[in-house]
Amino acid sequence: MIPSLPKPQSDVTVVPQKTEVVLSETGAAPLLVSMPPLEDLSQMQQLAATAYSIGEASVAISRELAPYFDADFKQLNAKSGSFSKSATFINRLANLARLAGDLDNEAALIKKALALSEDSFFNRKHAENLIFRGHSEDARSVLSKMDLKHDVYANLRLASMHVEHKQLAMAEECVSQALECDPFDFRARLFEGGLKVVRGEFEHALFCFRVAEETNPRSCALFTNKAVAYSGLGRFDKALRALKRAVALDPLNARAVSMLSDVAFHLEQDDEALPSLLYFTQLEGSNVQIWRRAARASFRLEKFADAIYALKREGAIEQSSGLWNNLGVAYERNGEGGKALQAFMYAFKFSEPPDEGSMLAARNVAQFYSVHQRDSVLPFLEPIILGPESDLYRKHPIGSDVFCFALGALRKAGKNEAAIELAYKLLESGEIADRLAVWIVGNLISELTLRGENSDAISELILQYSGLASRSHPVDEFRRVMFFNNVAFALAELNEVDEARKALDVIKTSIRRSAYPTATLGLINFRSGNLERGIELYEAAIQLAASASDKARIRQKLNLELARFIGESDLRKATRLLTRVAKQRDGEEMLVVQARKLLAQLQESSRSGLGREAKKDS
Amino acid sequence: MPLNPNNQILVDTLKSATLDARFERIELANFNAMSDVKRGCFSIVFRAHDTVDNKDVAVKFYDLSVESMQDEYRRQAFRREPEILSKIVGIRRCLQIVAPLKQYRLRLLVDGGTEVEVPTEYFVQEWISDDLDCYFLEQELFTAEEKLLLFNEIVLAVEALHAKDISHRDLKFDNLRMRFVDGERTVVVIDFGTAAHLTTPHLQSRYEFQAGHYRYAAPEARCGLAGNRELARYCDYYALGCMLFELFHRDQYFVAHQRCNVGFDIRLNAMRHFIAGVEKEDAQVEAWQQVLAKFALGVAGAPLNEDGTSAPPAIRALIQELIWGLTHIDFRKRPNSLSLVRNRVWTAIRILRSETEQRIRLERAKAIRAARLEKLKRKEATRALMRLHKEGQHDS
Repeated sequence: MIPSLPKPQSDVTVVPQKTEVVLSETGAAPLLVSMPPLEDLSQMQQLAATAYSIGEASVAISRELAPYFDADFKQLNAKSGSFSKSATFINRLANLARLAGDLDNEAALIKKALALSEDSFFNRKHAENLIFRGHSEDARSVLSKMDLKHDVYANLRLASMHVEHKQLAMAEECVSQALECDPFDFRARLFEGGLKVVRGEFEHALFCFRVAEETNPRSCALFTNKAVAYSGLGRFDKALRALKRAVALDPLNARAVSMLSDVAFHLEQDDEALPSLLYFTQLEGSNVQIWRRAARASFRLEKFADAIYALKREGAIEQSSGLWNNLGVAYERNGEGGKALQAFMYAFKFSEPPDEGSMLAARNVAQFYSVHQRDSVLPFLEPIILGPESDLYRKHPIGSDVFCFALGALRKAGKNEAAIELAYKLLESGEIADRLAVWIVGNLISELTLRGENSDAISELILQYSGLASRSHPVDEFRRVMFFNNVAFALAELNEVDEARKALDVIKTSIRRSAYPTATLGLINFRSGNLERGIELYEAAIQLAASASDKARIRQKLNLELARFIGESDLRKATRLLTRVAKQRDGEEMLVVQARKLLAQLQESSRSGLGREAKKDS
Repeated sequence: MPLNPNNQILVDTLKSATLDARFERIELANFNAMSDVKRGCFSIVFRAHDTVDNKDVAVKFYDLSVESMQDEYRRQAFRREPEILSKIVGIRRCLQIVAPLKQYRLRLLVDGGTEVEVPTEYFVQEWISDDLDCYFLEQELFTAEEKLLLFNEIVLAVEALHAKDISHRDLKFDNLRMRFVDGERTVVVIDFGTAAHLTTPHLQSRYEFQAGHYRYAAPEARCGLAGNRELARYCDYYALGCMLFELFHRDQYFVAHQRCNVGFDIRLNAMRHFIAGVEKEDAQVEAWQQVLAKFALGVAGAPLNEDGTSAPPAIRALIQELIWGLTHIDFRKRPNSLSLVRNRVWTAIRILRSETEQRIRLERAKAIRAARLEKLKRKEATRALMRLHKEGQHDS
């Protein structure tokens, strides 16, 4: 039986970045609710003023350069008298017009160059200018008239346009034509590989990227694409290597740095990404995604103060419920409980109606209260559970955790009946998150079993929800283990030993790794008459248990089972064991009830046995 | 923009004057009245006739606009120019100074009709009228060999300056002229306004940007190391690479380089960010090397193997390699000396002169490509077989 509350949030959450492929790159303290964490807010404002952005600085410099290029244009244009018949001269003027930001003048000059020369080079320039000015159809017309049998550029540009219109098959045709022109063209191979990635043909994509690499081994986009393909094949170690290369080639490529961080996080090798993230932030302080990832990596590496700093930098640019929730998680791990609660509260009230971040924050407030201020859990959760947004929370995979905390709090408050009533009400409503359903049923099975009543209800729950628990998302392994462990526990208590073994088989990898499944196997051994192995497994489970209360509960159950096994054969020893169960500190109340009941039974049968013997003697 | 009024007064005054009792028929030369465009930032250049040597000369005055008059750096740079020219007197491939820095008292009328005398500075150098514009702006009219021979001359001109420890720092085809003596052409570099001698002191402690033209400036110069004497020579190499590209391509090097290095300006700004504040020359070079280690890896040279090139296929790879070497983002990977550059240029010229050599080169290139294609086909076939094998395994 695993009566645990949901686990604490273990990482800073990061909204997954869209995978891109480069084809051509409270209730408890109402006052707190209305009090935003002013200290954090003011720090964020200060940080916003100091954020340096290399991107913005570069744009500013480019703007400053425009008049310079304009003067350059005029200087060159002064030579028109001598060179007005030279296409090269006109082309260079067109280039300067473009650098000066005068695209119309560029267009006029390219047309002039086209009139002077039939070089396809000018058609390319013409198409490029039309695309820049937003005249896609005209560009398409220019490109279509080019020599598509020999022009790689025209084919690839047409392919780009097809991709923009989601015409992948047509894009593939153009790319393949481009490869007919030049099988070693880097751009064509990069494009081909990108399209293969989109099609899910990762092996083929890698082949294309390898050919491209032979021509240009210095492209950041190429190695980032390779990483996407490797990730698609589940070869994250190779993806990581490709991304490290990509970032080495361009340390300021946000896409490569973000992806490096995500893959490193997946491999639990955040130390591989953190230096690149921090290097990036030194130069580009206004990228939210990078700050978020820097916070996550720092958090994973237990550099909580750094994580807090990164989150504040993120908050200086953009605030969200998710950010405040993450800040709360980081504060909590940094041992700053008060600040953590304040941040969670602010996140909880950040958006109306609640979004994922605020629901996660509500869950974390409940988690915080259940550890530090148990009495505050129910007053905090009541308005959520009974309020108009109850439905939203109930259906949300993470938001629904608040019900787990509410049920746990009711139980801790001794309101078991109210907890069971709420649990059934939620199950009967039918519209709850699968995770919540699995959690409720797992706990109900445990509760009903411990009460030793209603075996039909237990069987019905097992039959109805076992399928759901099997389907449950693999990330939620904790709940799956809890559910099947509790089922096995219930079946063992009902003396359905073979069935119990089958249920435990589903989570056999948890045995000897996790306390409760190990203890349940001990129970099954007891019920099969294998006392020694049963004791050994229970003792192993006590060793594995993380908290004092879990150790106490497993010890209680071991003593109870031993007492049951010994029974009348050694009444004094059984009585001693059952007294230990009843007096166990931090133990399980239901086990105490069971122990007292068994003790009474043993004493009763002992008395009746003595009476029978006395009668016999008389 | 029309000529600044002060400069206009100078032009008007000199029209009928004789300078130094020697230079007459003084006419403004670096201003196009039709387009109102003035060449050069801080000087007014006149063409005059030297009555002593009976040849034309260039008389260079310091710009009299208020901005220039208040710009101490520019004034110092102007004064340094004749000093540098005096170090190359008598060298055939170098521009020759005719008269050192002198003062001319220009009379100006101020408010109320009062006449004041303003001291202006000038020096005189030889006049060379033949520019190289047509080789760059009308390249299709010249053969590859003609362009390579010209480039060889350009390299020799720069080499002559470097031999005297002078770095020009503003090399571009606008600053090159051809001098013909007895029918023999010599390319000469002009406009030493930004030039520096290895031993001349810095005019300012920090350079925010490049000293010369933006489009020909090496990355280190654009990142604030334009004043570094140790790197100055390499900045000239970079500009030579840009010019070689522009002799064989319709685009400017700057544009082609930007096209194949998206986000290069951001990278460059990041590099500048890391060396900002480093003032000692040795420390600057060391810091720059560290920055290069972080940022140089993904930077590509502008390719010559695309449309728009006029480089013949037989020498294209060679020229490409030379351009990439000269314009490498890492100054340590640029050629060690310009004689190496000339050697490569002559190799290219020899190839062009020998039909057999050209044929051999082209055939070799064809054979390499055919072998590569064959290898690619084999790889593609192997990959297809493996895919079929995998699909077969899935089916069974």
